[in-house]
Amino acid sequence: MYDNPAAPAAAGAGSGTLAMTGAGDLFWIGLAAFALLALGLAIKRIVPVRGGK
Amino acid sequence: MITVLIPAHNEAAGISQTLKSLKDQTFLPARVIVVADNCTDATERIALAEGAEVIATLGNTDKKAGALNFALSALLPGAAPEDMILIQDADSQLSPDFIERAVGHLQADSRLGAVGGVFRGAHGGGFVGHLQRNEYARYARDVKRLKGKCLVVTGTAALFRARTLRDVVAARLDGTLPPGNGRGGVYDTSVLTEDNELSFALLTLHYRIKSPADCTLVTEVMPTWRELWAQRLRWKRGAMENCVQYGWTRVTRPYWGRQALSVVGVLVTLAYFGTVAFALGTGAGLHIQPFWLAVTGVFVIERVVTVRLRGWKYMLAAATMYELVIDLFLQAVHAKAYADAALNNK
Repeated sequence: MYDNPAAPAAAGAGSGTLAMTGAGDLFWIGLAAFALLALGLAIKRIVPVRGGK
Repeated sequence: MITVLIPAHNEAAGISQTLKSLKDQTFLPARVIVVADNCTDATERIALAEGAEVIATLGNTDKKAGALNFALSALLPGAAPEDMILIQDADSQLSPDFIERAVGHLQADSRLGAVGGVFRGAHGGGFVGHLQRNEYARYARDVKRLKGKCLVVTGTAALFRARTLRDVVAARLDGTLPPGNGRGGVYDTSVLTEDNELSFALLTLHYRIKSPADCTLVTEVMPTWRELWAQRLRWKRGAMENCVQYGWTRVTRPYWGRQALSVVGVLVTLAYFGTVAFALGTGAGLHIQPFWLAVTGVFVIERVVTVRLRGWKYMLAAATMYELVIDLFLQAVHAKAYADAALNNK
């Protein structure tokens, strides 16, 4: 109930690196897509809300 | 009239503090009832010494949900529709104005089915306790930003009207809701997370639920990694099974969405670290990429900003991303919960 869906991506993208394993582009596109989704959620959590203190 | 129900199984260590917090309320409840469930310690004696009523369950094998059904089956038939019942954990201490504020919220909205609390973690537990306090502070910030909108009214403390709980009982008996214990019990004794299930039940009956920022309380944290693992595994598996139990409905859609996101998150984490290990193992090396470094920077800012309720020292520490320890720990819990569910492990 206290899940933060952004956390996995923070863990995944946490080192700012990409491992060159020879995995296909599709694999990296999938990973990047999720990281960017989590990025959006993270930004949403940072930005102040209207009427918030 | 407000009645407080506190289910307690061997809670001698904390029940006194819990009852004291009720005596300090600006709006005092008419009755405080400790439901002693198979207690073998001094819970009953301490509760009586603190002036609470004590009722003991008889042969209950359904834990907290069973204990609450036992007490509610005696309480609800004689209650007036607008009487209120506060159900709270034995290890949670309410802030002095909790009841006053929760009653105000409930009286202001006739379709509000339950008012929960926003909790802080109590002291103790060393590093793992510290991580949970940060986590709870972030949760409190989220709920505050959403003006009390919450996914679940948790069992730590929740205020209901008697008529709302009677609606739940009626709906369980007529098949509108899952049958629960099959005998019209408010709480479903067949699930791992009865508070999550009751939240689904209320939403299904077109009630709203809320955890307002001004209803605060302090609750115990898990003192060891092992206990945190067991607690979170139960929460995760329970939440997932509640989704399966209710199926795909207007109520459960967002909860399914979060489940899906969690599954993908686990897979992404596994995939990412798998490739890092592979690259390091084979000597292929890691390549720093400015774009992903910038993305990481946003995650760092998120960690810092969201722990603001705890003060600048905690914000500064959060910038080191040391909390990845608990993020990865929870990923492992999620993976275990999904694996257990898939394999039907008990």
